[in-house]
Amino acid sequence: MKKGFVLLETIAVLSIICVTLITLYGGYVRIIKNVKLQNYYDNTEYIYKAKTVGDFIANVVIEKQIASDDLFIYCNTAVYQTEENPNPTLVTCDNSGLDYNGLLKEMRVAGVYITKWNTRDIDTMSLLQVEPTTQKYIRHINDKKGSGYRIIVMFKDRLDSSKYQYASIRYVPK
Amino acid sequence: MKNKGFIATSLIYSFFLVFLALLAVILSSYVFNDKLLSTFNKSILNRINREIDSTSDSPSYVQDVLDILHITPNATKPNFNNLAISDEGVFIADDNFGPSYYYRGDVTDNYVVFGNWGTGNTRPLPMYWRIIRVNGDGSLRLIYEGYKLRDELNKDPISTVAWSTSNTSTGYYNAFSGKLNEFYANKILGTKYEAAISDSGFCSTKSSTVTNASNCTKKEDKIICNNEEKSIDDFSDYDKIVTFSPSPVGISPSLSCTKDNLYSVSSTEGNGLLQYPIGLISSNEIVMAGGKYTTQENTASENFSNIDFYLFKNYNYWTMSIYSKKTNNGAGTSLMSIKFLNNANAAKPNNQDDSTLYAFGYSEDGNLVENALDNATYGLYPVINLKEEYVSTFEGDGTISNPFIGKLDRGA
Repeated sequence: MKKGFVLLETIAVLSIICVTLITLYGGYVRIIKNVKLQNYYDNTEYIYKAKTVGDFIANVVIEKQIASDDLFIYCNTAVYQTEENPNPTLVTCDNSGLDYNGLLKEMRVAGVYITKWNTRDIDTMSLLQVEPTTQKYIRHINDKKGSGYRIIVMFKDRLDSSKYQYASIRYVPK
Repeated sequence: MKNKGFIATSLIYSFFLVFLALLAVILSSYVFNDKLLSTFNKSILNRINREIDSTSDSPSYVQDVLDILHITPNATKPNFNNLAISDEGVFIADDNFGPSYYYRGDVTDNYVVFGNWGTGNTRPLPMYWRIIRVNGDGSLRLIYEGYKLRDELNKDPISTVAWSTSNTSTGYYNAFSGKLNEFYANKILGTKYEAAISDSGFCSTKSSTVTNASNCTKKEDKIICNNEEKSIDDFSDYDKIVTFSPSPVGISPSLSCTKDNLYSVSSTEGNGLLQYPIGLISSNEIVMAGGKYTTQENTASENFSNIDFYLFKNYNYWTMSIYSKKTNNGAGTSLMSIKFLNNANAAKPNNQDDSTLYAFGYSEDGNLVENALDNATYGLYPVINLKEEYVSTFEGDGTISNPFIGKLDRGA
């Protein structure tokens, strides 16, 4: 009688503990994911850096260069072949012609992309021209409203790092 | 002996509970900071985006409003010497915030439903408004049209009142602002509609840097007075549409004015003299919409009367623009200072002869005329500005049968 009661009690307590832990773990995973996103996407430091890059790029990129494309690549880290562009040329951001005053290098800029403001309008095939991490960031952007352009800047976490951080702001070509 | 192991078990349970509590505290602290940071970042991002956007010729938020209102603006400038008696569409002119898009002529696609004429538990009596223009900041400027009762639009003004009820030697004040404030307090203040109102301001001459505009000439697009180049903002409402007409400068209505002349609640962009963000139409807006100042020297050969445009209301109504004080010999004008505050003790300007004070009004027979301030036969059609965020919720095509309706009035 007593042994049976102890067993039942143990099962009940274990069940409660399991449910509590699973719930907490679910919440924990979600929070950690949000915190990671917060850290890697649009954090305060990179928003301001993206604005500086935008001001710099606005003087060299004119509207007609970007108006016809869903996604205009100013510079990036790797090239990806697509059906439309089977032989893409890699133009890295430390190219002296693009980064004539060393600003992009100083800010550890790894890629600069210009898209339509509403990224939902970007064609899937165009997205394939850029890194999977950039694709993921673009899909994460949730501004459905609005017209005009957006500049997306990809930063290297550290010089020797393979992790990237992203920020995007409105872009007005001069 | 019976409780053997009780303390150990209790300790284990206690530690476990403390562990859970700590975990909960850590997680909730994460959530709190995450939300804080997220809100903070979002706010920074929005501000930066808006700041960048506002540097472009036509900011995207203005473009969005134009899309919602199905507006394709005309690239040309209309001839303000001509009356607009047909639907001429939408034109562009700068206001204090950037390019503004104004309706001209007998347009029929600028109806908006906003607010409720009825109060308390009475059934909704939707108020109808007409769009005057999309302001440079993306907000929408509306003039009251009437309210709907049993499928009929009651188009009476909200009140009929003298512009100024006090023409005494001790002071004067404009009576209409009290009526407008009353309307705002009864229909908008404290209701769900208040959050949709923008404080974009109303231009009306309070001061002018040009003392004798009739001596000015126009060279190309510049106005030169005493060898000094002047901005159109430096002139009074009167000068823009009366002194300059017809020559040498020509009718030069404008939607922009100096900060001192922009009546608003906040003193950031305007003069901060309004109690509530509500005003009247300006004489310049009437001319740009298709009306024309009717001179006292009106001749039969020239038609100044317009009853075929959207601002003709078949009712005498006031504008917010002062006409001026005429001097005794009738040659030239001087400005008076207006107090748009319901303040009977407002100081009266020096050397003003009360019997010669006028403001612009639009008459029931279709004339933009000067009107003595104590004329009590003119009515008020309030003008308000709606925030661009609210305008983005509009549905409809702007006709009277399918007006633009925002989310606050849908299903009302």
